[in-house]
Amino acid sequence: MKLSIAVYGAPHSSEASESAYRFASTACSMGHALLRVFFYHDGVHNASSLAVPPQDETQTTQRWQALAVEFNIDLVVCVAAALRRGIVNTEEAERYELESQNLAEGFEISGLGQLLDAAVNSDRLVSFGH
Amino acid sequence: MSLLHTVNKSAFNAETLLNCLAICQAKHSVLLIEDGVYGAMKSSPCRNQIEQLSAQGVSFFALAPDVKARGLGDMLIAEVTLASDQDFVNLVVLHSATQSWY
Amino acid sequence: MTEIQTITAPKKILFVNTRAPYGSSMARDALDALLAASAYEQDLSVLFLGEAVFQLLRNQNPKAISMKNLAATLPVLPMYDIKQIYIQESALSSRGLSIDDLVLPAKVLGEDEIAALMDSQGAILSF
Repeated sequence: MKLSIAVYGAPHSSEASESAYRFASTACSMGHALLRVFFYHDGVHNASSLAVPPQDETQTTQRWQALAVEFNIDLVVCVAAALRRGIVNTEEAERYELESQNLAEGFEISGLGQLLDAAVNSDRLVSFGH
Repeated sequence: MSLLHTVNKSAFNAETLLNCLAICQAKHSVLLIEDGVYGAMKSSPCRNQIEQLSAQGVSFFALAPDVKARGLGDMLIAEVTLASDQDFVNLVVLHSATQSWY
Repeated sequence: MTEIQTITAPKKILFVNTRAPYGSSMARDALDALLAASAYEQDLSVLFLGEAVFQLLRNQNPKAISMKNLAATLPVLPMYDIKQIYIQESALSSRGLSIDDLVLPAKVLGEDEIAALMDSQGAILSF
């Protein structure tokens, strides 16, 4: 089946990101197509290139990146939620004259419509929140 | 077509599971994840409803990694089946849509 | 040869709200997602359960807490072609509220009707 996931929780602060990742990676290993992981609300923090979890803790951003590369998954971050929380790509950083950009590689900033688009084009969509 | 519900809050301090159970009907499944697995304990305030709904055809599951994390292994209501990560994926596929309660 | 275009029927997509406004941004975020979704010409419905019935309460004025008035935006939903608006009857009555307390017309549903509504959807977005 074609699946999509919505993630509304930040890494570390709640279990949402962990549950979402395990679901995503399990679905992929079972042969399902994961069309999109849509990060909204606090979930945008999964896409920060500046997070440094302790070495013995989950490297959340990196494992999303690795999964996306292995299974060709769209990792989409909602622009409005991201801007509010200080997750910015180069384009947004320039637009708002910010000191730097911090969108991790492999993640893409896009509009909120991509969530509905995922719901329309997938057979199933599951949300992970807190 | 029937629904899969996921619940991630403990029944001991939130109404989330109660709110979910109020909507459950035969052929629905409820998967307790994260802190939601506490709702599957024999001492759960929702135990009666879970047993009644189970008799009416609602299937109850608790996500095994979350149960194990919290040390609840042998404390669960009989009507709640342990589900693996693969079972979670299968439940999503088998049901027409998923309502996540948080 | 003429290309045959398959026209896909609009998918039934339900937005489920369960949070009160202002204490968390989920209510606002759900509304923004719903408005963005209206551009996709799908069969959209929105349901207010539990605490989310407070989103529809009249006379909201969040100016003093520096937030945008959620209830001021909700009445535009029909203008965005979102007319299937549902609210949980038991959530209203247990909070001492009636439809007269709401800022926009919503169809009041019992639990069985809510289950049937959810069972008929192609996708559910849970907020």
